[in-house]
Parts: sequence; C-alpha cells; structure tokens
Amino acid sequence: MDAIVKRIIKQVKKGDHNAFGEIVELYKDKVYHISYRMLGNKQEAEDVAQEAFIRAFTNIDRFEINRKFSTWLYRIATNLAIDRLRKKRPDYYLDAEIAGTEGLTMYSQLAANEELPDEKVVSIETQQGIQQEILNLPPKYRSAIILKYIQELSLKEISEILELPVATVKTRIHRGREALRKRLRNG
Amino acid sequence: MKCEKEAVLLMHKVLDQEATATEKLQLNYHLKSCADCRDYFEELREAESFLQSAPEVRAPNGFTSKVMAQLPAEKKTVRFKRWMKMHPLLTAAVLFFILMTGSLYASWTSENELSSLSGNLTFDKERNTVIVPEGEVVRGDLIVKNRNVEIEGEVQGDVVVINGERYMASAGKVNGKIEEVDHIVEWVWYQIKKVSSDTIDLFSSDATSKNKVP
Repeated sequence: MDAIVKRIIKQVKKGDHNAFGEIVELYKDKVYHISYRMLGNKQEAEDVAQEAFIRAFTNIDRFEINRKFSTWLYRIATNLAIDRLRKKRPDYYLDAEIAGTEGLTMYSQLAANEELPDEKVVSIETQQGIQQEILNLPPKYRSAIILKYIQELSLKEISEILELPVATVKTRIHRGREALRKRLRNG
Repeated sequence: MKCEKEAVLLMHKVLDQEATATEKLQLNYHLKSCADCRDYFEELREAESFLQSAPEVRAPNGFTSKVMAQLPAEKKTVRFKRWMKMHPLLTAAVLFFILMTGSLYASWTSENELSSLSGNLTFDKERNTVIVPEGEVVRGDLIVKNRNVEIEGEVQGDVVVINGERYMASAGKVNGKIEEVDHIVEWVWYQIKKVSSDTIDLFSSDATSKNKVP
C-alpha cells in the first residue's frame, strides 16, 4: 500500500492530475469522516474535505516522499476543520424572519419529517447520539479522540498529525474519555 | 472516591494499552476490592466502546470529480506525456509526420543549390539570378533552388526551378521539360516523383546490368 501511494505521489509531484484522482479515491472516505466528526455537518464536512485535498495537491512539493502521506493529509484536514470551528458563528437562527417575506421563518425551509422504518430511526438516533457527544467535546480533545477511536490511529501517529508531543496527546485523550464518561453517566 | 488519582491514571494507562503486565495485575487487584473504581473503569470502557460503535461515514457521491474540477491547471508537459502513453500508435504517427515535414522543410529552405552537368553559368548576386549566357550550351538537367534563372543560351535537358522564377530570353532554348516548383506541396510532390523515378532507374539499371551478364 505504502509503496503504491509513494509511486502515485511521485507522479502527482510532477503535476499529474489523474494520479491525484487516485489519491482522492483512496483517502476520500477517511478525510471526509474526520471532517464530518469534527464539524458534525455534512455540507461543511464536504467543503473541508475537498479543501484538504486541494491544499494537499497545491502543496505537494512540500511533502517529503519518505514520510507517511496519510499523516500529512490528515493533518491538513484536521487543521482546516479546527480553523473552521474557530470561525464558526451562528449565522442565522431558525426562528429569524427571512428577509423580504412576511412572517416566514427558516423553519419553513426545513424538509418535512419523513416517516422512516423503526429500525432506521433507531440507528440514526444512536448515530446522532454519538455525533452529538463528540461535538460536545472541546475541539482540543475532539480531534485527539476522533483520530484515536474513529480512525484507530496509534498515539505516535496522532502526535505527528496534531504536531503535539505524545504525552500531550495522551492527556487530551484521557480528558476526552473522562468528559464522555461523565456525560454518558448523567445521560 | 478516595483512591481516585493513582487508580484513574492506571486505568487510562491500561486503556491506552501502555500498561505493563504488573500494572494490569495491580489494577485488577485493586478493582476487586474497590467497587467505586470498578464502576469508574466500567464507565470509561463504555465511553470507549460508545465511540468505537460510531458507524463508518462515506464521502458523498461525486466527491472526487468535485475535487478534480477545483484543482489548478495541470502542467502542459504532463498532460502531453500522459496522452502519449495512452496513444502510442498515434504518437508514433505524429512524430513521423513532424520529422517528415521538418526534413522536407529543411531541404526546401536550407541550401541554395544549383546543379548542372556542364557548361558555364554566370550568377547575378543582386538579382539572385542564375544566368545561362547567350551562346552557352548546358548539357544535362539544370536544377536551381531558391534562385531565379534566366535562360539566354541553350539547355539540353530539363530545367527545374525550385522556389524561384524563370525568365526565358527569346533566344533561349530548353530541350527538355521546364518545371517550376513554388509551393511546399509541389515541392513534396516533386520529391516523391524524384524518389520514385530514382527507384525505377535503379531497378532498370539493375535489369540492364543483369542482361549484360553473359
């Protein structure tokens, strides 16, 4: 796998678009998953994931071929997601009136709740539950927790992605686990 | 919880899979005797498995093409190289065509060539014109390239003017054909005719030499 990626990256470094397409195919799910768990919003997750790949392509000259590509790519994605979280402010509220309308609020813009089969409702609820709990973690702990439990990466890899000492990563994971434990106990 | 700090640190160490065998035993031993810590450790493990149960999320459809559409323009050389890899036969054909035209064009423009077999010719530099003077007889074909030619005398053969003009004086005389080649297309055609007639000559001379063998 690593050898294949290395070969493709060499082509990308020469400016080959198609080779980069292979890279996107290989990593799109993982990168999207990281940004989705970080942001909790599909549209934003897609924006950030796309942006991460574009940054990777334009900065490919800075990537050292002997390093692990996924580490570098995940770092770009995590940093973009953290940036996005910092800038994020609630731009609009559901009950605010839409400009140019009379008494029409954003609620009217929401899709109607469709009837779903019971099982589906349950699985979506647990999924949303997990996502909600992840989003309740402060971003500092969130990124470490996502990389550890969702991406199943080693502490060393996480420390490289987050550019933090392993000890700091450990502390963040511990605190994240603690925060989650408390919430799950109360919930 | 009294024993919290030390025990909790140990718990995290175990969860991080960084605890030694002794430390694991130490924790197990402690958990057996301390219900609070047992609950605490159980809750931490639940938190872990809760996170691990998060389902895989896949990138939305059309993700790759959306990324590709936003990439900055590709270096031309790369696109060209890839195209060549994908169409080797076409590449060979194009390469052949380029070399062909190149060499033809080179022979069309490069040397200013003049060939005739015998006879005295004069050359007017200002007018860039080769002159067959009055009363002069050229035996054989006269080929003039990138020059004009003026015939006042006699040529006992063909006259070919390539990329030039031909003036005939009233006294001038040409026994063979007169050909003017002005365009590159005609030049190509002329080359082909020449090559094929040369080949035919080669074959016929071959034939005659064979006939000569007793």
